[in-house]
Amino acid sequence: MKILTIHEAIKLYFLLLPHLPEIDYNNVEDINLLEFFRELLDKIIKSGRHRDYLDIVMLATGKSFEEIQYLEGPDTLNLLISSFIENDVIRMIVFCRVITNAWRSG
Amino acid sequence: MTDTRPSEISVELGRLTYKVNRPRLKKYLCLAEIRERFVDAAKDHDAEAASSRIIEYIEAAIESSINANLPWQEIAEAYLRLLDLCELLIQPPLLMYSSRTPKKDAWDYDGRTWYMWSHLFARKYGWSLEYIAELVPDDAIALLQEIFIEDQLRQEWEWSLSEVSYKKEGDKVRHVPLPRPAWMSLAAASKKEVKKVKIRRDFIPVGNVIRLGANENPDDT
Repeated sequence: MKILTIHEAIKLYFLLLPHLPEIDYNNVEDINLLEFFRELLDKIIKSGRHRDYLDIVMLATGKSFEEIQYLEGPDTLNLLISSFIENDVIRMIVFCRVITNAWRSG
Repeated sequence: MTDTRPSEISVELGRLTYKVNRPRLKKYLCLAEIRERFVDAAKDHDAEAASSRIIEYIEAAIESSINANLPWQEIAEAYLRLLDLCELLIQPPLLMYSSRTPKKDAWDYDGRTWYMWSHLFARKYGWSLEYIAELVPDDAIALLQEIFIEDQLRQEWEWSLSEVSYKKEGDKVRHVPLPRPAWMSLAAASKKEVKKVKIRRDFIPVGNVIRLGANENPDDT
Protein backbone atom coordinates (compact mmCIF):
# COMPACT_ATOMS: atom_id res chain seq x y z
CA MET A 1 0.00 0.00 0.00
CA LYS A 2 1.19 3.49 -0.86
CA ILE A 3 2.68 5.50 1.99
CA LEU A 4 1.97 9.17 1.56
CA THR A 5 4.67 11.83 1.51
CA ILE A 6 4.15 15.10 3.41
CA HIS A 7 3.13 16.81 0.17
CA GLU A 8 0.53 14.15 -0.60
CA ALA A 9 -0.69 14.14 3.00
CA ILE A 10 -1.32 17.90 2.99
CA LYS A 11 -2.91 17.69 -0.46
CA LEU A 12 -5.19 14.92 0.78
CA TYR A 13 -6.09 16.97 3.86
CA PHE A 14 -7.15 19.94 1.72
CA LEU A 15 -9.26 17.57 -0.41
CA LEU A 16 -10.87 16.05 2.68
CA LEU A 17 -11.30 19.36 4.51
CA PRO A 18 -14.72 20.41 3.12
CA HIS A 19 -16.11 16.92 3.85
CA LEU A 20 -14.60 16.19 7.26
CA PRO A 21 -17.07 14.83 9.83
CA GLU A 22 -17.67 17.23 12.71
CA ILE A 23 -16.16 15.17 15.50
CA ASP A 24 -13.75 15.84 18.33
CA TYR A 25 -10.31 15.43 16.80
CA ASN A 26 -8.60 16.03 20.16
CA ASN A 27 -9.13 12.44 21.26
CA VAL A 28 -7.70 10.44 18.39
CA GLU A 29 -8.04 7.14 20.27
CA ASP A 30 -11.81 7.58 20.58
CA ILE A 31 -12.40 8.03 16.85
CA ASN A 32 -13.87 5.01 15.11
CA LEU A 33 -12.28 4.90 11.67
CA LEU A 34 -15.21 3.09 10.02
CA GLU A 35 -17.72 5.53 11.51
CA PHE A 36 -15.50 8.40 10.40
CA PHE A 37 -15.27 6.90 6.91
CA ARG A 38 -19.04 6.42 6.64
CA GLU A 39 -19.71 10.03 7.67
CA LEU A 40 -17.05 11.27 5.27
CA LEU A 41 -18.64 9.43 2.34
CA ASP A 42 -22.10 10.69 3.33
CA LYS A 43 -20.85 14.25 3.32
CA ILE A 44 -19.16 13.83 -0.09
CA ILE A 45 -22.35 12.35 -1.57
CA LYS A 46 -24.53 15.10 -0.07
CA SER A 47 -22.16 17.82 -1.27
CA GLY A 48 -22.52 16.60 -4.86
CA ARG A 49 -18.76 17.04 -5.34
CA HIS A 50 -18.18 13.48 -6.55
CA ARG A 51 -15.01 14.47 -8.33
CA ASP A 52 -13.49 15.01 -4.84
CA TYR A 53 -14.08 11.33 -4.06
CA LEU A 54 -12.22 10.31 -7.20
CA ASP A 55 -9.36 12.68 -6.41
CA ILE A 56 -9.18 11.37 -2.82
CA VAL A 57 -9.07 7.74 -4.03
CA MET A 58 -6.41 8.48 -6.65
CA LEU A 59 -4.24 10.39 -4.19
CA ALA A 60 -4.61 8.01 -1.25
CA THR A 61 -4.15 4.80 -3.22
CA GLY A 62 -1.74 6.01 -5.88
CA LYS A 63 -3.98 4.48 -8.57
CA SER A 64 -4.63 6.27 -11.84
CA PHE A 65 -8.08 7.23 -13.11
CA GLU A 66 -7.92 4.42 -15.68
CA GLU A 67 -7.10 1.84 -13.00
CA ILE A 68 -9.94 2.99 -10.77
CA GLN A 69 -12.41 2.94 -13.66
CA TYR A 70 -12.13 -0.84 -13.92
CA LEU A 71 -12.54 -1.46 -10.20
CA GLU A 72 -15.85 -2.43 -8.63
CA GLY A 73 -17.30 0.11 -6.17
CA PRO A 74 -16.65 -2.04 -3.06
CA ASP A 75 -13.09 -2.76 -4.22
CA THR A 76 -12.40 0.96 -4.50
CA LEU A 77 -13.83 1.47 -1.01
CA ASN A 78 -11.67 -1.33 0.39
CA LEU A 79 -8.59 0.15 -1.21
CA LEU A 80 -9.37 3.55 0.24
CA ILE A 81 -9.99 2.19 3.74
CA SER A 82 -6.74 0.22 3.58
CA SER A 83 -4.89 3.36 2.57
CA PHE A 84 -6.52 5.34 5.37
CA ILE A 85 -5.47 2.69 7.89
CA GLU A 86 -1.96 2.35 6.49
CA ASN A 87 -1.46 6.11 6.43
CA ASP A 88 -3.05 6.68 9.83
CA VAL A 89 -5.32 9.23 8.21
CA ILE A 90 -6.94 10.41 11.45
CA ARG A 91 -3.54 11.38 12.88
CA MET A 92 -2.73 12.97 9.55
CA ILE A 93 -5.87 15.12 9.81
CA VAL A 94 -5.03 16.07 13.39
CA PHE A 95 -1.49 17.04 12.37
CA CYS A 96 -2.72 19.16 9.46
CA ARG A 97 -5.38 20.78 11.64
CA VAL A 98 -2.78 21.67 14.26
CA ILE A 99 -0.30 23.20 11.84
CA THR A 100 -2.81 24.95 9.58
CA ASN A 101 -5.03 26.28 12.36
CA ALA A 102 -2.12 28.19 13.86
CA TRP A 103 -2.82 31.14 11.56
CA ARG A 104 -6.45 31.23 12.70
CA SER A 105 -6.04 30.79 16.41
CA GLY A 106 -2.74 32.10 17.37
CA MET B 1 12.29 33.30 34.40
CA THR B 2 14.21 30.02 34.49
CA ASP B 3 14.24 27.99 31.31
CA THR B 4 14.01 24.32 32.29
CA ARG B 5 13.45 23.07 28.74
CA PRO B 6 16.14 20.93 27.06
CA SER B 7 18.52 23.04 24.98
CA GLU B 8 19.07 20.20 22.53
CA ILE B 9 16.85 17.52 20.99
CA SER B 10 17.39 14.58 18.66
CA VAL B 11 15.33 14.28 15.50
CA GLU B 12 15.17 11.09 13.46
CA LEU B 13 14.65 11.29 9.73
CA GLY B 14 15.26 8.50 7.22
CA ARG B 15 17.22 6.40 9.73
CA LEU B 16 19.53 9.31 10.50
CA THR B 17 19.61 11.13 13.82
CA TYR B 18 20.17 14.85 13.92
CA LYS B 19 21.04 16.75 17.08
CA VAL B 20 19.43 20.16 17.09
CA ASN B 21 20.12 23.00 19.52
CA ARG B 22 17.59 25.63 20.51
CA PRO B 23 18.09 28.31 17.86
CA ARG B 24 19.69 31.67 18.58
CA LEU B 25 18.25 34.88 17.20
CA LYS B 26 19.42 34.82 13.58
CA LYS B 27 18.35 31.22 13.03
CA TYR B 28 15.15 31.77 15.03
CA LEU B 29 14.14 34.66 12.74
CA CYS B 30 14.97 32.63 9.65
CA LEU B 31 12.75 29.79 10.93
CA ALA B 32 10.01 32.25 11.88
CA GLU B 33 9.99 33.61 8.34
CA ILE B 34 9.68 30.14 6.84
CA ARG B 35 6.83 29.48 9.27
CA GLU B 36 5.10 32.68 8.12
CA ARG B 37 5.42 31.61 4.50
CA PHE B 38 3.93 28.24 5.50
CA VAL B 39 1.00 30.07 7.10
CA ASP B 40 0.42 32.01 3.86
CA ALA B 41 0.49 28.77 1.85
CA ALA B 42 -1.91 27.09 4.30
CA LYS B 43 -4.31 30.02 4.03
CA ASP B 44 -4.33 29.59 0.25
CA HIS B 45 -4.74 25.79 0.60
CA ASP B 46 -1.58 25.45 -1.49
CA ALA B 47 -0.37 21.94 -0.60
CA GLU B 48 2.73 22.18 -2.79
CA ALA B 49 3.96 25.38 -1.16
CA ALA B 50 2.90 24.33 2.35
CA SER B 51 4.77 21.02 2.20
CA SER B 52 7.81 22.72 0.66
CA ARG B 53 7.86 25.17 3.56
CA ILE B 54 7.74 22.28 6.06
CA ILE B 55 10.72 20.63 4.37
CA GLU B 56 12.52 23.99 4.20
CA TYR B 57 11.85 24.57 7.92
CA ILE B 58 13.23 21.17 8.90
CA GLU B 59 16.28 21.56 6.66
CA ALA B 60 17.01 25.01 8.08
CA ALA B 61 16.58 23.75 11.66
CA ILE B 62 18.77 20.66 11.31
CA GLU B 63 21.15 22.39 8.86
CA SER B 64 21.09 19.48 6.45
CA SER B 65 19.06 18.48 3.41
CA ILE B 66 16.47 15.72 3.75
CA ASN B 67 14.54 13.44 1.45
CA ALA B 68 11.15 15.05 0.86
CA ASN B 69 9.70 11.65 -0.06
CA LEU B 70 9.99 10.21 3.45
CA PRO B 71 6.70 8.96 4.95
CA TRP B 72 4.59 11.89 6.13
CA GLN B 73 4.63 10.60 9.73
CA GLU B 74 8.41 11.01 10.01
CA ILE B 75 8.34 14.53 8.59
CA ALA B 76 5.35 15.48 10.75
CA GLU B 77 6.94 14.26 13.96
CA ALA B 78 10.22 16.04 13.22
CA TYR B 79 8.40 19.23 12.28
CA LEU B 80 6.30 19.29 15.46
CA ARG B 81 9.34 18.62 17.65
CA LEU B 82 11.30 21.38 15.96
CA LEU B 83 8.39 23.83 16.28
CA ASP B 84 8.27 22.96 19.98
CA LEU B 85 12.01 23.57 20.32
CA CYS B 86 11.60 27.05 18.87
CA GLU B 87 8.71 28.02 21.17
CA LEU B 88 9.41 31.13 23.19
CA LEU B 89 9.36 31.01 26.97
CA ILE B 90 7.93 34.50 27.29
CA GLN B 91 4.88 35.96 25.56
CA PRO B 92 5.46 39.71 25.49
CA PRO B 93 2.54 41.96 24.43
CA LEU B 94 4.55 42.95 21.35
CA LEU B 95 4.01 39.41 20.04
CA MET B 96 0.65 38.65 21.66
CA TYR B 97 -1.17 41.73 20.41
CA SER B 98 0.59 42.38 17.12
CA SER B 99 -1.35 41.99 13.91
CA ARG B 100 -1.28 38.42 12.61
CA THR B 101 -1.26 39.72 9.06
CA PRO B 102 1.21 42.57 9.12
CA LYS B 103 1.10 44.92 6.19
CA LYS B 104 3.93 44.15 3.79
CA ASP B 105 6.04 47.15 2.91
CA ALA B 106 6.90 47.74 -0.72
CA TRP B 107 10.57 47.42 0.23
CA ASP B 108 10.12 44.01 1.93
CA TYR B 109 12.07 40.95 0.81
CA ASP B 110 12.67 37.42 2.12
CA GLY B 111 15.07 37.47 5.05
CA ARG B 112 14.53 41.17 5.86
CA THR B 113 13.39 40.45 9.44
CA TRP B 114 16.95 39.64 10.52
CA TYR B 115 18.34 42.83 9.01
CA MET B 116 15.54 44.88 10.56
CA TRP B 117 16.13 43.43 14.03
CA SER B 118 19.92 43.55 13.84
CA HIS B 119 19.76 47.15 12.63
CA LEU B 120 17.61 48.12 15.63
CA PHE B 121 19.90 46.40 18.14
CA ALA B 122 23.10 47.67 16.52
CA ARG B 123 21.78 51.24 16.46
CA LYS B 124 20.49 51.10 20.01
CA TYR B 125 23.21 49.15 21.82
CA GLY B 126 26.12 49.27 19.40
CA TRP B 127 26.37 45.47 19.27
CA SER B 128 28.07 43.63 16.41
CA LEU B 129 26.07 41.49 13.96
CA GLU B 130 27.79 38.35 15.31
CA TYR B 131 26.78 39.21 18.87
CA ILE B 132 23.18 39.98 17.87
CA ALA B 133 22.94 36.73 15.87
CA GLU B 134 23.76 34.75 19.02
CA LEU B 135 21.19 36.41 21.30
CA VAL B 136 18.63 34.18 23.01
CA PRO B 137 15.35 34.88 21.11
CA ASP B 138 13.40 35.49 24.35
CA ASP B 139 15.90 38.16 25.44
CA ALA B 140 15.93 39.73 21.99
CA ILE B 141 12.15 40.03 21.81
CA ALA B 142 11.92 41.50 25.30
CA LEU B 143 14.64 44.03 24.43
CA LEU B 144 12.93 44.89 21.16
CA GLN B 145 9.74 45.65 23.04
CA GLU B 146 11.70 47.95 25.38
CA ILE B 147 13.18 49.77 22.38
CA PHE B 148 9.70 50.31 20.94
CA ILE B 149 8.30 51.47 24.30
CA GLU B 150 11.15 53.93 24.81
CA ASP B 151 10.70 55.31 21.28
CA GLN B 152 6.94 55.62 21.74
CA LEU B 153 7.22 57.40 25.12
CA ARG B 154 9.82 59.79 23.72
CA GLN B 155 7.59 60.55 20.73
CA GLU B 156 4.63 61.09 23.08
CA TRP B 157 6.69 63.56 25.11
CA GLU B 158 7.78 65.41 21.97
CA TRP B 159 4.19 65.36 20.68
CA SER B 160 2.92 66.84 23.96
CA LEU B 161 5.32 69.78 23.51
CA SER B 162 3.99 70.50 20.05
CA GLU B 163 1.15 72.96 19.38
CA VAL B 164 -0.54 70.57 16.97
CA SER B 165 -1.24 68.16 19.85
CA TYR B 166 -3.72 70.65 21.36
CA LYS B 167 -7.20 71.09 19.99
CA LYS B 168 -9.40 74.08 20.75
CA GLU B 169 -12.95 73.14 21.71
CA GLY B 170 -14.92 76.30 22.40
CA ASP B 171 -13.18 78.13 25.25
CA LYS B 172 -11.22 75.08 26.30
CA VAL B 173 -8.06 73.56 24.88
CA ARG B 174 -7.86 69.78 24.90
CA HIS B 175 -4.70 67.71 24.58
CA VAL B 176 -4.95 65.03 21.89
CA PRO B 177 -2.62 62.19 22.85
CA LEU B 178 -0.39 60.59 20.26
CA PRO B 179 -2.00 57.30 19.20
CA ARG B 180 -0.21 54.22 20.53
CA PRO B 181 0.51 51.14 18.40
CA ALA B 182 -2.18 48.45 18.52
CA TRP B 183 -0.10 46.08 20.67
CA MET B 184 0.33 48.74 23.39
CA SER B 185 -3.33 49.78 23.41
CA LEU B 186 -4.60 46.20 23.42
CA ALA B 187 -2.18 45.18 26.17
CA ALA B 188 -3.30 48.15 28.28
CA ALA B 189 -6.97 47.32 27.68
CA SER B 190 -6.46 43.70 28.69
CA LYS B 191 -4.83 44.76 32.00
CA LYS B 192 -7.56 47.23 32.87
CA GLU B 193 -9.55 45.82 35.77
CA VAL B 194 -13.29 46.30 35.99
CA LYS B 195 -13.93 48.32 39.13
CA LYS B 196 -16.05 46.48 41.69
CA VAL B 197 -19.05 48.50 42.78
CA LYS B 198 -21.01 47.55 45.87
CA ILE B 199 -24.77 47.51 45.36
CA ARG B 200 -27.18 47.84 48.24
CA ARG B 201 -29.15 44.66 48.88
CA ASP B 202 -32.51 46.42 48.40
CA PHE B 203 -31.37 47.61 44.95
CA ILE B 204 -30.82 44.16 43.51
CA PRO B 205 -33.67 42.37 41.66
CA VAL B 206 -36.26 40.46 43.66
CA GLY B 207 -36.21 36.67 43.36
CA ASN B 208 -33.56 33.97 43.36
CA VAL B 209 -30.10 35.32 42.67
CA ILE B 210 -27.96 32.73 40.91
CA ARG B 211 -24.31 33.28 41.80
CA LEU B 212 -22.11 32.07 38.96
CA GLY B 213 -18.80 32.70 40.74
CA ALA B 214 -17.93 29.80 43.05
CA ASN B 215 -15.96 31.93 45.52
CA GLU B 216 -18.38 34.80 45.58
CA ASN B 217 -19.15 36.04 49.04
CA PRO B 218 -22.88 36.74 49.50
CA ASP B 219 -22.02 39.54 51.93
CA ASP B 220 -20.33 41.50 49.13
CA THR B 221 -23.62 42.90 47.94
